[in-house]
Amino acid sequence: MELSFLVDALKSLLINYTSNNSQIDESLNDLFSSLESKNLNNEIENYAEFILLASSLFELKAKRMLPQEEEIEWMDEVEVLKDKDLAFARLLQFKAFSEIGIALASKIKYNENEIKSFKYYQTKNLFPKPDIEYKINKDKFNEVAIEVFDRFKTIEGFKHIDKDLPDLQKAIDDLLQIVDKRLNISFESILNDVNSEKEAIAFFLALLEAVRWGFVKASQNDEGIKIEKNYEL
Amino acid sequence: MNYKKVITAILLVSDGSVNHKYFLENFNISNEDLINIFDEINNELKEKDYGFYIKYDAKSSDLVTLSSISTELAEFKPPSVLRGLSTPALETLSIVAYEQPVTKLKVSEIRGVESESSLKTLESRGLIEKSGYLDVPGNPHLYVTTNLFLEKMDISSINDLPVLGEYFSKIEEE
Repeated sequence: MELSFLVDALKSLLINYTSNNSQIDESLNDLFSSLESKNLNNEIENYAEFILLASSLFELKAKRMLPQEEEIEWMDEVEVLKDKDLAFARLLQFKAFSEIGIALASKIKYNENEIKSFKYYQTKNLFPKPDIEYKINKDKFNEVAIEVFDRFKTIEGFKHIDKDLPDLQKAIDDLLQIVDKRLNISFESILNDVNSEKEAIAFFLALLEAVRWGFVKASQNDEGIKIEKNYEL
Repeated sequence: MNYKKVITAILLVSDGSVNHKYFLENFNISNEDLINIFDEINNELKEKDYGFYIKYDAKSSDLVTLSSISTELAEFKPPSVLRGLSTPALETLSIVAYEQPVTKLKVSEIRGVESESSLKTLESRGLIEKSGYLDVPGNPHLYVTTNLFLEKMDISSINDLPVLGEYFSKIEEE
């Protein structure tokens, strides 16, 4: 029995399958016309089996159990289903929250039957808070507050604040005068001659300024801070 | 020290519920002792038919009136936090409660409508508050529920909120 023509016709049906009905019809017509053109009287049973096999394969393919070229559309269909599911899930979610909102309200209403002894914090949240937030260092705030109140109590009020601050310009002049007089002087020896902490701080600040402006050079080692006039200026 | 006297007085004047930690540290007593004192006070109050008791959970305690006399207290009751809250506001509250921290956009997305006014209403009632920003372009505010919400729900943490499914199993049973 020559089966090659049947196999070709079958291949054409299976491999070149498209969703285009006219192409399917054409392929089927080719298959049947090929069969008719042969004298099949003697071998009708064999061919019948072959046709049955072909039609079964065709049916399987039609049920998307064989490779096909419709994958993209199928995926689109899945996406549509996904969107529908998502929309449905959203609806359920919304309905759920709607029900839960009522359940929460019932619970709150029930709990409000018990009244707590009046507390300030029950009302303090009734107003929206501003979006700007500024954190205050409580300790520092307290320190400044005490200082302000202490000074406020004095007769002069705040007038004396300027007097408390060291005169930096005078300290710089004094420092440069000392450095001019004595070569290789140490900061520690300058501190020995000062009368108050404020004066010491003023000299330290004066030293920093003098170094910054290049009037003097300062170097620190285990013995202390050595100061010398900057002759490169 | 007469713990009963001091504890009831503290609970009466305290600004909000009092954390157990305060009593444990200041009175040098164990948690078990504290609970026993609460129970003892509550039993005495019950015996003498007083209209309030100490309500406590695992973390804190406060003085509260008995729910059985709420009708008689109607005129003295503070306004309900729910007063005038609309259904959309309650929906929004449930979304913030279960999805927190959540942005306004997410709330609106779930509800399918703009939710700014609902969020502002809930915020003005002290049930929700802004808590930080989401680290995305635009830095939208994140909303969370407040301590007042926990207190009104009679829970000590958001984790104690009922599981979503519980609401619906109850509905089915009904």
